[in-house]
Amino acid sequence: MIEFFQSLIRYRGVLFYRTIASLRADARRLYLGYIWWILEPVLNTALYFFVFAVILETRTEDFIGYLLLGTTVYQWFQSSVVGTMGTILERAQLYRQIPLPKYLFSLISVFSSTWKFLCVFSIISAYAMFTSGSSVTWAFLWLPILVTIQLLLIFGLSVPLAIGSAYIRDLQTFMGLIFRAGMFLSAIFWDISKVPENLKLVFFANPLASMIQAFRSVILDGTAPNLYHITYVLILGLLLIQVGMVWHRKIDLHILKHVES
Amino acid sequence: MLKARNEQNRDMGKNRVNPAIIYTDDFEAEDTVLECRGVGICYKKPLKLGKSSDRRRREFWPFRGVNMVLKKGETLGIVGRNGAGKSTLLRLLAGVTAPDEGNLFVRRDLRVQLLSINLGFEKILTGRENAIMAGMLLGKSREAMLERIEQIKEFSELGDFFDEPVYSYSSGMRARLGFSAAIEADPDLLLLDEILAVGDKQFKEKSRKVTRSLIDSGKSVVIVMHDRSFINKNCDKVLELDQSN
Repeated sequence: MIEFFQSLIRYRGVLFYRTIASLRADARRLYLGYIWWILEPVLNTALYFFVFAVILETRTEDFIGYLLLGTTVYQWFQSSVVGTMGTILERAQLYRQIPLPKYLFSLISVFSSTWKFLCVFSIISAYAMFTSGSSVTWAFLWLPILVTIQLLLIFGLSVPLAIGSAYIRDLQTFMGLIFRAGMFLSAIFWDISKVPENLKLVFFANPLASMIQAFRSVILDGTAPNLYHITYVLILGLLLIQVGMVWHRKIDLHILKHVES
Repeated sequence: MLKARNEQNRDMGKNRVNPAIIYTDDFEAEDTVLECRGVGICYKKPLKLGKSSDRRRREFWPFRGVNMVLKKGETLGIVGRNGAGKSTLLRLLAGVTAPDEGNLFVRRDLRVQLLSINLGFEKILTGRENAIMAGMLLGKSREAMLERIEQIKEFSELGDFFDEPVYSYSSGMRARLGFSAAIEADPDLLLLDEILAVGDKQFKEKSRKVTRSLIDSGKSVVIVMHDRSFINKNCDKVLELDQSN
């Protein structure tokens, strides 16, 4: 695990400049460029609002803020993790030339998704606070902690999924299903209080449900997040990083021989 | 005699247990840069539902039991037919892949640079940005690369194309960029995979001249090339890989 944080420090320059380059390259490719960062969550939210508030008439208090927070946090998670799958094959040429950790380009993809998230998230939080009438409280000090915990969880999933998807490409398809399921199970567009009491433990075992709930309680209610939930996600994240690193050490110098690219 | 054989057997047994790249300063000769002992590489076909999972059918060994020593200032040519594992061996020497049998001993802190035709450039970035990034991936600081960048540009003779995205380059231009960046990185051991055979006549001559001057300045070079006359003229040793072993 320490090895992982050491390589973050060792490759910080590469990570920093490659992240900027990839954000710029993404924006350059698209006609609307950076506008998509904010347009995507807004359109998603509009869709959910239409289906769930207008047609099905199930809504919570401050439903728009509730939806916006849920979608951006989940979008950050999904795009980071999906983005890391396939990076080893995409960068095989480079990995065959220079001895590098095989998760280096996963990290770049995670960091660019994270940067997008932070930009959008600050705008959306301000909006959610404005509509819910809450104000900046001490609870906001939790935000950097929550972001860090979720980032660790993302790292933890990225390394094993980047390796696994290089060996078995089916994993990418399979994870698409998992993410769709996760979207329904993380209470993004329905009221979390509808979960029956006896199922709460199972429900919050989904780390994203716990994280989204934590973000909402800080921004919408101005209260501290549930400590059990975020500690659980933190431990899960660190554990997954450890698993990823052990696996990486095993395959680092062999994986490029056994994958098709 | 018998004793020597026993020792050899024991050695081989040991190698089979723990094939690895070992970074060390403990060589018999002081100027040894790297040494291969009984090195082999094994490719495995990916598993697929319904296909045979028989180990021997999935495995493919391009070469096995390769022994060689490379010393400082030496030039080694690797020859062999297509598929004999020449590029695979270079990747092994570059420390990108590990052997599946035998040991590769590499001198500690040896700066190795592998150059092949398929360079890992980011196509959407410019030649300049790619050259800087290539140096950073090898552990140089951005500042150090910015200092050298004009020299790289000059050597590559790419002119205005240096600030164009790499996807607009021809394959010869990519080779120029890669070669220039690699030379400027000042490696102790340069591994050249067919790189001296690309580009136009003028750049080919230039890159060969630079390679010769590198050889003269005491760097170690390993060359994979189909041009036997260049290898015979410029290499101290020739390693022939063929699939018979």
